[in-house]
Order: sequence, then structure tokens, then C-alpha cells
Amino acid sequence: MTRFLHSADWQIGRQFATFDPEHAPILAEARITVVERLAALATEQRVDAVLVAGDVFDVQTVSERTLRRLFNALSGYAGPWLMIPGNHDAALAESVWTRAQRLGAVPANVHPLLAPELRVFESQGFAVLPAPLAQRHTYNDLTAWFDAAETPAGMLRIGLAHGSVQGLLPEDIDSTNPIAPDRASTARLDYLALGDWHGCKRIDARTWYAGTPEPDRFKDNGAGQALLVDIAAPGAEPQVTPVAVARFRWQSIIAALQVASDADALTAQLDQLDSHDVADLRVQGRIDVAGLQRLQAAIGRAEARARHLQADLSALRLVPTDEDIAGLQADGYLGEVVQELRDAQASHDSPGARVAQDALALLAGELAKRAPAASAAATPEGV
Amino acid sequence: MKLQITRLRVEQLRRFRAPLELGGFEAGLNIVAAANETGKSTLVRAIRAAFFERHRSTAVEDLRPWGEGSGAAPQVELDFLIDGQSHRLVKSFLGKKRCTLVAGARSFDGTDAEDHLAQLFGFSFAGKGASKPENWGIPGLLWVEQGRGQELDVSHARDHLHDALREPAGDSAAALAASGGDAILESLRAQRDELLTSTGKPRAAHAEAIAQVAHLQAELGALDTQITAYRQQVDQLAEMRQQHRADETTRPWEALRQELQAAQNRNEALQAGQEQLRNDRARLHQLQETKELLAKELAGLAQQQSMAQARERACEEAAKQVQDSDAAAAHARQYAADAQRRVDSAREAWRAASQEAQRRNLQQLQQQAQADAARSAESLERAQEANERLAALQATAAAAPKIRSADVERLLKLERAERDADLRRQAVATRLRFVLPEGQVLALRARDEVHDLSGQGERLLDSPATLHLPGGGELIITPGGDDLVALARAHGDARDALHAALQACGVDGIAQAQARLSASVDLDAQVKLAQQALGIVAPRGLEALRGELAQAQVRIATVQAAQERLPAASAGPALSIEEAEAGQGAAVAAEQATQKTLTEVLRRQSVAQEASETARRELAAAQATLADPGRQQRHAQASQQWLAVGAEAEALTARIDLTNADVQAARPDIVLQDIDRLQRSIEQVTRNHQQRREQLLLLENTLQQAGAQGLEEQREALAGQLAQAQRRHDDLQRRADALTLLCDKLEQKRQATLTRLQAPLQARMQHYLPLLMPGATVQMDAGLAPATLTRPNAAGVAESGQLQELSFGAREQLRLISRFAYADLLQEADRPTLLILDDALVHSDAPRLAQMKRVLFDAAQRHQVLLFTCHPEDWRDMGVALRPLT
Repeated sequence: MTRFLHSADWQIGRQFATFDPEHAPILAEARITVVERLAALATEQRVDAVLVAGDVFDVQTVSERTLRRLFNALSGYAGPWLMIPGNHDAALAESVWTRAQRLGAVPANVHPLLAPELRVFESQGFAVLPAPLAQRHTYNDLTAWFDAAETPAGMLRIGLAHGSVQGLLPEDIDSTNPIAPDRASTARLDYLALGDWHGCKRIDARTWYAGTPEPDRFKDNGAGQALLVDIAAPGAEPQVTPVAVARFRWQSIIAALQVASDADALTAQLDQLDSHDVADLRVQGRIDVAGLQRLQAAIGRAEARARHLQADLSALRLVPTDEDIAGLQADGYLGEVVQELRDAQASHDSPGARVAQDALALLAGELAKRAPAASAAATPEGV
Repeated sequence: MKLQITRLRVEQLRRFRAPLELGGFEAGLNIVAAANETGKSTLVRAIRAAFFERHRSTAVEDLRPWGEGSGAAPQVELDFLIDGQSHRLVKSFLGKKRCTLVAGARSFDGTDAEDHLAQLFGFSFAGKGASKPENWGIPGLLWVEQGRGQELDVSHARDHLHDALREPAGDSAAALAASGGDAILESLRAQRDELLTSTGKPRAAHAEAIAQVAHLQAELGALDTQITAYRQQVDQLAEMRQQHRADETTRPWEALRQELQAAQNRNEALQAGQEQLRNDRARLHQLQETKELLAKELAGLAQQQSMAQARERACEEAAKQVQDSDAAAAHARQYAADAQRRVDSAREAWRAASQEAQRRNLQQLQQQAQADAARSAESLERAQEANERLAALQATAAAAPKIRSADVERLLKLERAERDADLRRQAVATRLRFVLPEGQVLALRARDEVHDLSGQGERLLDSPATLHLPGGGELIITPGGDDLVALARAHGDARDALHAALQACGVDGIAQAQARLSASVDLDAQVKLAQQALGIVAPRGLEALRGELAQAQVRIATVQAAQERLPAASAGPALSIEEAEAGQGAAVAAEQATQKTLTEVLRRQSVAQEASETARRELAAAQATLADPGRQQRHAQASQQWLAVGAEAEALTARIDLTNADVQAARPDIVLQDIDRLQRSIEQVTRNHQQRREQLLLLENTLQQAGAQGLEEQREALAGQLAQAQRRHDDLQRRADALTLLCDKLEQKRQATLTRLQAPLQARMQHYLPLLMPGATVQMDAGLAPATLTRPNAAGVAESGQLQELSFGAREQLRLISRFAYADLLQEADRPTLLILDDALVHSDAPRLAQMKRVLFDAAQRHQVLLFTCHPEDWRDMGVALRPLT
């Protein structure tokens, strides 16, 4: 029985630079530590080989330090690591792979399969058919040569490819290179390990996407897992077991607020976030002054607790109630201005609405500051 | 509310130790006129203290009468009506602190009374110390102290004014918002100014955010460029590697080398052919040269023959020439002799003519000379005559006694002097006139002279004289006169002088002298005339004339001699000399011509003879050559050789043509080109290969280095920074936009409110202002005080200026008018409006004062006005009596 660990899309070198400078390094670091965990898992589960189906690196010109760290992280498993280049780390004339080899950073048990040639592992009893990407943009099916490739008898035929299975995946897949959906059967593969789709997905009994071991997108698609694949003998159906390996939980929270209770629910949800959460919050709808303050307070608390929280309130309309307005104690022409601003922000689409909303918020703030003073201003200087 | 003060009473207040009471104040204008230092301002102070100062106040020391101690208790009583209801206020300070107010039925005491008053009249009390302007409220505005009319501080009454203004407008809480709103506006402005400059441009943090975004974008762009370049190089590397490999396999230079070899072989073959061709051509050339030489030789021999024949002909020709020229020479000689003879005869003729002419000439000369001689002789005669005459005259003149005219003059003078002296003597002298009858003679003795007087006569006695009377008596006459003696002496002197002079001149008398003078003058004149005559005849003198005569005679002699020398006249017609000359000339010319011809002919003759000689010699030489035996031999040889050479040349030419055709067909030039082309191609291909290898190495090196920079990682980090900077910029931009919107809106609204607020006030101002300045308008500021005045200038154009910049007088006028406007508004709002003017308008000129009085009169229709003045004469036309301070 042969056991493999199947992973892909490690995207080492990704910086998360758009995130807060405090959080970004931690998230970047997490991508390497998950590799260490994979190595530990592989050792613990005594797999025969680890299959990494492309996009090991996020860019070609990662720093040398990142490069070395990645290869160091593989040291936790002494068996063969089989990697193919994906579209991010394609095997160009000069690539991250040639750099790594020049630097001598590639350990002996790590096999970057940069050519579409058969690799036989006699002792382990399997042969690998890799379909490496050698161009930045590939438009043809690189797994086509599997069909005609001959392997020694009695060996498992393991396919290793990176691309999008035609017809089965949503349009917003990363790379363009297609893979025939029935490749596993036409090429008589025992298992086809795929990469490029960041979520864990079963295509058919023998064809799986492992997904990225550490999520890097807010989309919830089953990322953060690795696959343990057990194949009893050539021709037998593989037993595939997903294993959760991720450290962080990425989620996208979209809230539409209409009434006060909506805001409360959202607040409660925000209060649930902890240090393992990486969240993207989008709020739309309408809210009054007090509600906005409460919401902002909740967001502030959640930001402090979560690993990362980004909030977008641009679609949220501030609609002061009449009590709010009265509370402002805006008399005379101040009151007129307040009313005009309320009216201006009622029409959502005009660019003036946004400005009017901000202006109203500012004015409300100023009035609130003076409210205590205003009440004491009724001195008898000739009332 | 209608307020009218009716009575004022002060006691123990400054100068008013004894009570002073003023009553009967009217509802409108009241004028109190009093001289300086009579206490007008004290009364004003009293009224003010009655209202503004608390009765317990310790700051009212100035009310104390001078010199009084602590017992003094200044007191003020004030009766007034409010809406018809009578009030009485009694307040006393210092010594006795008391205050009572009776308002109709109600009465107030102490602080209550004061507070009631404050609330009624619109003022307040100071917390402690003296009452200050900020407490004075409405009365502070309307009660003008002495010398303070040109100032106007509305701020302390502003709230009252606002209240007064807003009620008609119906703006609820406009006043409250105005003050609170200002503070908010300030705060918002400050926040806006943090982000934007006064012109709306970003500044400080906002500007930095924009700059940061731009900066990061630029850096990102640069990094992207680098990354793109890197990727292009990677692609280039792949391509070059492929090409290199292709070259390694196909090795194109091999094929080229083979082709080159083939071409070179072909070339060699062609070279051989060309070599042969060259040799043949050279040989042909040689043959042709030989042929030419032979031809020359043969030609030479033939020529010799022909030359000999030519010589013969020439010889004959020359002989003929000689004959001809001999004949011509003889002919010419003859002509020359003829011409010579003609010339001689012409010469002879000329000589004869010449002689004749000469003869005639000489005759003419002779005649001329004779005439001259005759003339000269005549002249000489005449001249001699004249000369003799002259000589005679001169002799006469010399002989005549001479006298100069000067001498004559002197003589005349002397004579005159003598006569004068005589006359004088006579004048002085005694005159003795006598008339004696016949026969009577008297003897007169004077100066020892006896004169006999008879007949009639006269005698001058200049010295004592004795007249002997007949009968023996004597008359001794002594002439009188002083100087008779002197005069006589003088006369005697003069007479002597005259005589001396006459003697000196050699004359006996003046008349003779004069005659002599005129004679000499006459003679002189004659001499001159004679000289002139002589001059005419002989201008150069006699000698000259004689000389001329002699010359003329010589000339005659010469001519005659010449004439004798001439030979006798020849017979035959004598030609004129001109004809003779002409003939001679022609003959000479003809002779010369013939001479020339002769010379020419002789020359030709000699030439012809020479030529003949030469020709004969040449002929001899040529014939000798022909006779040479060796010549024949050479001729035969040359002919033979000529034929042989011709044959060989033909054969060679044929062979050459053939070979040439072959070579041309093979295109040797193209073959050479092929070789060149192939060599170059080989070189290029190998060089390209080599270069590409080098470039590959270079590129690999470059990429290794570039790859080590971690460009894409950097880019991602930079992109993150840019996103953050962008967010920050957006936030600031939004904030700035919101603040700008807010500020604009608030300012707009505030201004509108203010304008609405000010409208009634503006209207009231315009009620009064045209009376003072026609066509003028005044603009209020935010504090409801007049700030800007706009009026038409001399040209009719509206001019604006700050009120503050006007003159003292104008300011006082305008600010007084403002007070009236305020009073009108306050009255409409039911506030009490008493106006007190202490010594107002003292700096206004007469026209302005007149205008202001009209204004004041109008205002007094509505408000009670207390006017204090020390210029009663200015205020007599107000329709009210001027009340004194008694």
C-alpha cells in the first residue's frame, strides 16, 4: 500500500502587503509554518512521497531568504518531495527553480520536476507523470502526453498537474491552461494530483484538488487542508482523506442593516472573532447615529482581538433620526444646514451624497461637543 | 414703552451742595443751556449714577461734594413716567446709602429697586467695583457722554438689539444660533484650514498624503518597469538558448565551406584559361609592333624617291624666279632716276620764288624805316623847341626874384600888425583936427619934430606936443591915455619889423612883394605848361627821340645793304612761294616712292637668286641618295619580312578569339563574387554563433543578479504601502470635502441671517442718513454697528470708505444718527429709549449742524431727548425754550 500526501498552491513569498503592517508578516510567516506542519504530518503518517501540484512560490523573484526558508521547512520529512512548477512559478529559462539550484538550496530529497518526463521511483513502487508549466501563460493541455506514456509494469501511475479542469470549475480560476476532465482514465492513472484551485475539491474518484494548506483568500471554499491518499495496488481506487492543517480561519462577513436589531446581530458576530480569524467585513444599509457609534465600537474591539479585520462601511448610509437631530440642538440656521445635509444624502448615487453624509457627521460631532455649553448659555443678560 | 423723565433733583452732589431741581421736562426735546463749569456734566453723571451705580457702591467718590468729609450723602431724585405711569427713584450714596423706587402703586427697596430698574431699562450691575461699559446696556448706547459722541460700541447692547430685531422678523432663536453658530463655524474653519490653504489647495498632512501617493506610484512604476525588463530578459534567454541549440545541431558553416571549395576550384580553372589568353595577346601585340616597323621602313624608301623628283621641279621653278626679278629691277631703276630729276627742278623753282619774296620784303622794310626816321626827326624838332622854351622860362624864373608865399603872408601880417598898432595909437592918441584958413600955418612940435599944419587935416598926438600959435603962444598938448607911449612904441616896433621884413625879402613894399609873388607863380605855371608840352612831344625825353631817329636811320642803311646783296631777278615767271613749295613737296614724295619700289625689287632679286642656288644643291643631294646600292637590298628584305609577320598574326588572332569566348562564358567575375560572398557568410555565421554564446553568458549573469533582488516581493510590499497611502489620502480628501461643504453652507446661512437681522436697522438708518448726506448709504457690520459709508463723489461715482477713516465731526454725526436708529428699533420692541446728549456736535460746521438739527428734531418726535449745551446760540431754532441751570 502506498500512501501519499497531496498538497498544492503554497504561494510562498506572498506578502499580504495590503493588510496592516502588523498583521501581514504573521500571515506571510504562516505560509511557511504550514509547510513545516505538512512535513511533520508526512513523517507522522509515514507517507511514501509528498506530491505538491504547483504554485509552490507566489512569484519568481522571491528573496533569497524566503527561498532558503521554504526549502529548510521541508526538512521535517526525509522522503521524496515531488514538486511541479505552476503558473506563478513556471519553469522559464530563468526561474525561481534555476535560482534555487544555483544557490544549492534544494535538498537531495526534493525533486522539482521541471520537464514533462516520466520519473520512476522503483523502491517506492510508483512512477510520476508530471505536467510542469514552462511558460507564463499556457493555453494547451500539458497533460496530453500522459496518455501515450509507458510506465514499468506493476508501478503506480501518479499524475501531477496544475491547471483548470475544463467545464467543472467557475470562471474565475487563476490560470488558463486546461486539463481534460477524463485525463485520469484516458491516461490510466491511479491518481491525478491537481493544483491551482485553492479549495479542496474532488473531481472524480481519482482526480482531486488538494487546495492551499493555509487559506489566502476570504472566499470560503474549503481551503486549509491537505489530502492523504492511500492506494492499495495499481488499479485500486484511492482512499482520499482530507486533513485540516490551517492555522487561521479566513471569512467574509457581509451585513445588510435595516433595523437596529441587525446592527446588534452584527455586533454579536463581531464579538465572536478571535485571534485565529482573518475577516473581511462589508456593511451596507442604513444606520442612525447611535447605532453607528456602537457599530464602530464593536469593530474597534474586534480589530484588536482578531488576527486581521478589514471593514468597509462605504455602503452604509447614516440616517439620523429626528431624535438625533433634536438632540443636536441645532437652532436657527444650524438647523437649516442640518436639514439640507440630510436631504442631500438621501439620494444615494450622487457623489454629493457621500460628502453630505460626512459633513453631517462632522457637524453632529461639533454640536455634540457644545451641547453641554449650549444648555448653560441661557444666562440672564437681558433675556 | 414710552419713557419720559419729568423731574430731576440733586443734593450734596459735587458743586450742588444745595439742592438743585429741574422740572417740567417735556416728552420730546429738552435743551439745557448753561455756561462752562455750571454743572451740566455733573447732572448727567447724577442721572447715570442713579441708574448704574448700586446705592451701596464705594466707587462713587466722585459724587462727593468737594471738601466734604464722610458725612456727605449725595442724593439723586428722579421722577419719570413709563407708559403714563409715574415712577419716582430716590437714591443716596456714601454717607447715607439708600434706594427707593416707587412705581405707581408698587414700591421697591434697595437692591430690589435697582434690579427692577436694570431689568426695565436694559442694563446690568457690576459684580464689584465701579460700573463699567459692559454693564450699561441700552442706556450706555443712548446716553452720550461729553466728547464720546464719535465713538460707538454696540457690543454691550447687542443682545438687546438682537432681541429687538428678531421679533419683527420672526426668527426664533436666531440670536442664540448666531452666537453658538459662530463658535462652531470657527472650530470647523480651523479644522478645514488644517487640511486646506485659503485658496482650497491641500496643505500639511493632506498635501503630504497626496505627495506620498504620487511618490509610491512612481516607485511602483519604476519597479514594474524593472520587473517587466527582467521578464523580457528571461524570455530573451529562452529564445537565445533555442537559437544556439539550433545552430549547434545544424552547423550551417559546414555547408557553406563546401560550397566555397567548389567555387574556388572553378576559379582556379578559369585562372589557367585566362593565363593562356594573356600570353597569346602579348605575342600578338609584339607581332603588330614588328609589322609597324617594317611598314615604316618601306614607306621611308618610297619617300626618298619622291623627294628627288620634287627637288627637280623646285630647281626649275627657282631659275624662273631669278629671271623675273632681274627684269623688274632694271625697270625700277629707271623710274628712280626720273623722279630724281623732277625733284631737282622743283627745287630750283622754289629758290627763285623765295628770292623774289625776300626782295619785296626788303623794300617794304626800307620804306617803313624811312617813314620812322622822318617821324622821329619831326618829333625831335618839336621837342627841341619845347625844350628851348622851357629853358627860357626856367631861366626867367630863376632870374626873377623870388619870394615865397609864406613870406608874403608874413609881410601882410606884419603890415596889418603895424596898422593895428597905428590904429590903436591913433585911437588912444589925441586927435588934433585942424581947420585953418588959408595962409594960416601952425607949427606943431612933437617928439622933436615940427610939423606944419595947414589947411584941413588931422593929426594924432601920441606924445606931448607943442602947438605954436601964431603970435608966439604955445599949446602944450599932453595926450592922455596910459599906454600911449607903449602904444607908440609898439607901433614903432611893428613898423620896424615890417621894414626889416621888407628888406629881408628884398622888396620895397607889400605891393611889390605881392607882385613878385604873383609873377613867380605865373612863371611857375608857365614852366609847368612848358614841361607838359615837352612831355607830350617827348615823353621819354629828347635823348630817346634822338635815339629813335638814329635807329631808324641805321635800319634804313641795313636794308639798303641787304637789298644790294640780293642777286638779280631771274627771268621767267616767278611762281609764288607757296606754289613752289607745293611743287617741291610733290616731287620729293614721288621720288621717295620710287626709291622704295626700287629697294623692294632689288631685294626680291637677291632672294630669288639664293633660292635658286639652294634648289640646285638639294637636287644634287637627293640624286646622290637614290644612286646608293645598299638601298635596293634593304627594300627587298623588308618586303619579305612584312609578309611573314602578317600570316602569323592572323593565326594568333583566331586562337585568341576562341579562348576568350570560352572564358567569358564561364563568368569569372561571378565566380569571384561567389567566393567572396561565401567567405563572408562563413565568417558571419561563425561570429554570430560566438557572439550569441557570449551574450548568453552575459544574460545569464544579469538574470542571476536581478533575480537575487527579490523584485516581485518588493513590488508586493510597495503595492501594499500604496494602497494604504491611497486610503489615507481618500480619508483626508473626504474630510476636507465635508469640511469645505459645511463651512460654505454655514457661512452662507449665517450671512443670510445676519442680512435679515440687519434689514430693519438698515431701513431706519436710511430714514435719517439722506438728511445729512443725500444719496449716501451705510453698511452695518456683523456687530450691528455702522462700518462702511457709500456715497456719490464729485463725479457722481459711488465711493465707499470705512467710517473709521472719516473726520471727527462726520463720525460724530453718523454715530449719533445710528443711535437714533437704534432708539427707533428699541422703541418698536417696547424698550425705554431716553436719549441724553451732553455737549454734542460741537465739531460740526454750520451746514452740517443745521442738517443734524433737523434729524434731531425728527428723532425727538419719538423719543425724549435731554440735550446739554454751552452754546445756546446754536440751539435757538429748535422750537423749544432753552432752560438755564438755576
